[in-house]
Amino acid sequence: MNDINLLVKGKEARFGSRLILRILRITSVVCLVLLSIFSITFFFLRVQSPLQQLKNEESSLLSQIEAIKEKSLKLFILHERISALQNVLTKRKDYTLLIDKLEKVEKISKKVPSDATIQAFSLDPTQVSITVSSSSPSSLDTFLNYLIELALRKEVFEKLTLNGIALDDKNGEYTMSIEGKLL
Amino acid sequence: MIDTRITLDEATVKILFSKYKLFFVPIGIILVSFILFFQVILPQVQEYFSLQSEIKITRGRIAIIQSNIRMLASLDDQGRNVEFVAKVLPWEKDYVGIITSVSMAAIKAGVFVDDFSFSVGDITTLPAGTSQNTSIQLTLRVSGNTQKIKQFISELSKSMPLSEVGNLNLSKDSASLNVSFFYKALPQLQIDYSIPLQPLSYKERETLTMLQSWKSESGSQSGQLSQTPQ
Repeated sequence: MNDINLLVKGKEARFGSRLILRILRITSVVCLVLLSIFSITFFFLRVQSPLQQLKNEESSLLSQIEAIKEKSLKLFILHERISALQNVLTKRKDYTLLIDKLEKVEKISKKVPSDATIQAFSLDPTQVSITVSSSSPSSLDTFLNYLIELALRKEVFEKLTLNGIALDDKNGEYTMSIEGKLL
Repeated sequence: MIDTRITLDEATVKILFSKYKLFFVPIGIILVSFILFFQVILPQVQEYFSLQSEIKITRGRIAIIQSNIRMLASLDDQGRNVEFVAKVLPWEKDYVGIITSVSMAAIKAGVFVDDFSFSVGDITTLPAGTSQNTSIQLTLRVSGNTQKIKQFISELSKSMPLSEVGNLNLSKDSASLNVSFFYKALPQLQIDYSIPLQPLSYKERETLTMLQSWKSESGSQSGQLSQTPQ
């Protein structure tokens, strides 16, 4: 009868198991120690954080500002109003341009023949409309030629349009209506 | 033939348990440590860094608030300037201001205001913080020669509230003008003190000085007018 060897993997096997067990025990202890160190460290970092103190300081400063809040409101209003004023001043029609055009148109009106009268004069920054009447059509013609010359010389007008000429039978007056685009 | 089937009965479990029981505790500790690391330690690390970030932001805000306090403390009282700009560009329809400015311009230019009419619109409701400028339209008829009408327009350009002449219809010794007087509603006053407040810039002070010079010009001229014997 053969001997049955019930001892499987003798001394070498036992040594391997013990080594593994030892490594596992050391690793578990290291893990525990590291966990503890991390936890305690972050606990103290959180407790000693200056955030709450900073927030208290911020609240205190904001309450100080309340005392001079009126100044900040006035400053805000000034910024807002002046910005709006700058916007208006840049966008509003140039008064000096209008006055300059008025002066040019005034010169034109001085060239109206003595037997003609200006019935109406309409001016905006880009355009002028003139209505002139006279009993003499040649006077109106003289005035119209003067305006055409100005337009050709590019002095006052960029463009000139004759809107119409009408005759009033009752008083024999001719009325001429002209529109000019100003330079 | 050898039977290779494995049977897991109670006896087998007991044998395995007794053989490997020394391994259970350290393996269990290591597993729990890993779980705790990912569930507890890592979130604490993230919390720490976000705390640091919040501390940095809060310190920045405090510095800005302190700077704002210093700036406001050194600022002169701007009450008069606020009253002045409110007259130049009112935050509601200022009919009294408009009539006064038209009258003063007429007196200085030596023209007569024959009649005028307002295009009123909604007189009771303030436009709620609109970003665009709004205006009241005024049509007025003045009597005077072209030279005086020119001066009237010039005076109007520097009067308060600010205005703009649209169309001008001239006839012999009189004129009809369409004038727009500007106003703008005040927006909601909300000041964030954690943003740096700026004093008036050079350009803003320049604009204010220019407008104040218009006022002082008209003030000196009205003073001269009041001294003119009748």
